[in-house]
Amino acid sequence: MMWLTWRQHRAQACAGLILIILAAAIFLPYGQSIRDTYTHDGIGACLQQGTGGDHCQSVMSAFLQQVNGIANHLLTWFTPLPGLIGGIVGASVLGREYEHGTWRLAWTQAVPRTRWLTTRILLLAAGIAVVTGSLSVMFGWFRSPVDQVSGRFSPGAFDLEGLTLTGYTLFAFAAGVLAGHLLRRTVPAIVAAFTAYMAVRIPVEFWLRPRYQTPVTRLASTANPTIGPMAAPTSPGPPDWILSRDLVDHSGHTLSPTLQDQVSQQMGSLNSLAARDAYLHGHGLQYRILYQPADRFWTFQTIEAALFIGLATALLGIAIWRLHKRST
Amino acid sequence: MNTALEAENLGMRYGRFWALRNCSLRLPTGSVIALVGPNGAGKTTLLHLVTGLLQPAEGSIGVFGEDAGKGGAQAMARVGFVAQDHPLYPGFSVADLLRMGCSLNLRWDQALAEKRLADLGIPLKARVGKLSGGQQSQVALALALAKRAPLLVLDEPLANLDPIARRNFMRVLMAAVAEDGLTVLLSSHVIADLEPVCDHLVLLNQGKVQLAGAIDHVLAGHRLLTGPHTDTVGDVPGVVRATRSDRHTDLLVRTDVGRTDVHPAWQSHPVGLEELILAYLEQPAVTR
Repeated sequence: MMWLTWRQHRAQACAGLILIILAAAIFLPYGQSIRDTYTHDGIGACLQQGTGGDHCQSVMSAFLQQVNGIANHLLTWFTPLPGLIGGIVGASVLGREYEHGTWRLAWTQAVPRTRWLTTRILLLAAGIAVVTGSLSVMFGWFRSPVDQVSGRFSPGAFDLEGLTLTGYTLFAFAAGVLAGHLLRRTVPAIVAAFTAYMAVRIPVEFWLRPRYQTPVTRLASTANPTIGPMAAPTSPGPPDWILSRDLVDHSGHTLSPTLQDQVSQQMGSLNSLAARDAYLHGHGLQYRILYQPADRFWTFQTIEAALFIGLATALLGIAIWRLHKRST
Repeated sequence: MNTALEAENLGMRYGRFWALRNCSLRLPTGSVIALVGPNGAGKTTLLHLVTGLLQPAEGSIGVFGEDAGKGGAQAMARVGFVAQDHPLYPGFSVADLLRMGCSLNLRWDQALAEKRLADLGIPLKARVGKLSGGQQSQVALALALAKRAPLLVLDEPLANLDPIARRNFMRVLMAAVAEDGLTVLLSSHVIADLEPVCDHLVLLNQGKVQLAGAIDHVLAGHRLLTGPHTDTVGDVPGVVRATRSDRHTDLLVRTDVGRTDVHPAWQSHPVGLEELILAYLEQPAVTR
């Protein structure tokens, strides 16, 4: 079974290897140049002490400006990638066997088909984990100076570093296996797996992920921008994941949206940070910031990876169970 | 008589449609069985039940005493199968396919497979997708034979083959059968392909077994009666089919009902296998 799985998927294994090599060729030199800038501009020193100073703020802003293009935008192209990789590999497991009629050859040897499928799934899942794990390690290294400044919860970081990339790909793989069984065609199964992947992945990122743990609240009396991908941190230490920022009055009540708009407009006409902070102080206003602390990164990674791997296991379980019934 | 294949009230259903129902068969070891029926009669369904590709919806199917319906390794090891259109992995080399067979089977005769392919002039290094249809069918047969299974099942093995490839395929098949004393179950919708090599017949129509048994026995059990034109044949027992022309009437009757002598004026002839099968297929309601 091991040899047969290798023989049937060796082209895909080679493609995985090429992907790793290409990513290394692009991201390792670029990561090195980011590191050089990071050291040269003294960003590490800024993050350790006076992050609020004007000098450090402008240095960090410039740094983010410079790397944001590739670090966030280029990596955004990797969002659909787990769906494609997983879908293609998954769909070829059963979809291709049905499409070419070779299921009748494969399942009339002396290996029962559930064992045939289980062995194949386990080997392929291991192969996928190796490829995506390598990519995640590479992305983590490449992005680590940027993550010091913008935090590991930004989409380009959280979705590619750690365990999530592997979880996503395994989920798409499982969807591809099941879709191949149901649709009996390779290409429609890839499309179905990719659609399922996007349909789960996007709501999880934008709706579910902020809710894995109850966010923490803190009050801030400075107008220094702290949200958005370009926000430079204003306090030392790894940046938190800011979920929302609302104006509250001295008794702690949130201002109405219209009132918040008015305040923002008036503050926008003030041209220095000190003037804006003085304005807030004069009106007895503060910001209430809802955030996920930076040290929850691995907890969130584990939760999200477990969610996707759990879904993958369920889909694969359905595929194995359906195959076991031998009803079509 | 040892039983190679035994079906007991076997049935298979896709949704609400019964592809095969009430199928009871007992086929002896060493026989070469023709499974005949029109397209959609349930031949492939029956063969897939024998090979364990399908799980019966009702009844049971046994191969040399093993329950084939459970799809276990022991039962699978007893059946060599060449599926319709002899599917193979087109990207594999012939040697890859043999290695696959070796790794997926309990028994495997690599030397036998290599010798068969060498005799046919099919190189082991050749890519399967580059071989001709006839060569692919020979590779599929070599794979099935290398399992050393006592029962060989072939689904429409001759369809899509040119006449020379057909002849070569049957020659190799029958040589293997003679050598190893295999039991062979092969399907076709054209009996002419199978008549010279088969000694047993299973006639399937609309998911039901119409006729089953040794071909000699089946032929001996039917007569063709020719007599004057008449519209009333209802009183003749055992009529399978009546055909009328202006001048006379032909009746295909079963002799086991014992009263063929009621028509002394009629002429009685033996019937050919092809004509007998056609007669049954035209009358799906008649079963024996």
